[in-house]
Amino acid sequence: MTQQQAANEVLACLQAMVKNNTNPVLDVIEPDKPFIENRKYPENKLTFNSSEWRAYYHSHGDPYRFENEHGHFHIFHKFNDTQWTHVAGLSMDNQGQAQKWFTTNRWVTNEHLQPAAAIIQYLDQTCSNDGLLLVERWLMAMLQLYQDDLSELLEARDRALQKLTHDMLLADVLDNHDYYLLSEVEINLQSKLAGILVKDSIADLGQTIS
Amino acid sequence: MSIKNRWIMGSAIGLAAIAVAIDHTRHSLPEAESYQSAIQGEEDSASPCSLDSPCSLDSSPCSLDDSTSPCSL
Repeated sequence: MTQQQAANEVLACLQAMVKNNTNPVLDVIEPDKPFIENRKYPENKLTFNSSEWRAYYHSHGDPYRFENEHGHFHIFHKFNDTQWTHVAGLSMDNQGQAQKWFTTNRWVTNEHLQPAAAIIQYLDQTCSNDGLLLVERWLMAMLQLYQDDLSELLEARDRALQKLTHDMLLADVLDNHDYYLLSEVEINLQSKLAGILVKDSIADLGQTIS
Repeated sequence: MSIKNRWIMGSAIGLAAIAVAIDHTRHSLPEAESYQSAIQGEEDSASPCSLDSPCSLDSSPCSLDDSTSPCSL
């Protein structure tokens, strides 16, 4: 999926959510029931691309909560039959809008941590939309749309880990509860979509004129 | 209408579509309740240490695996 296709897909998902009077968060929590801190939503998790990817949404209390955050998605990619690699967290604000990508230390997700380069390769995978829930399509498109930012995010995570290993062994750093958040990147979805879709229109105009 | 004007009009409509889609997906969300307050009044024998219970941040709050890591898959 090209970045332009991803932008169109994100926009299409949002427009479908407008029709359904929902958003990515309302789509996974159960609005009629209490929303419980630390509980994972939906119960059966989100699954896409032949179960190679899984995700869920939840929230924490302070101090493990970003400013204006309602909760966040955790997105994982399969490493082997029993282990998963955490690709990124996607923080959602109090109105259900994506506000930040972030990475956490290994102990937080109990993941099989892999270097940035290995995870970035996962983002190149082609995905099929067949049978996906709207929120799964949206998440998949967001991963494609923000591929460059996610690369930077994961590389920043690796640099943060490398810096911490000046004073202790990597294995100790990864399980050290003093280190929780390792990197983060702000999201401005409106500006991202506008930049890509308008740039594409300019390219089309150039081709039409020539 | 010239090509340039059509492009300007098309871009304006595109930008408006993006703004509308984002604005109209803004909804107030329910505030999170703590697990303890949510189970108050429930008459089953729900235990704060059962598999349904949120694990503390002392373990792995964001793993995929419910049994050992509250934030795992």
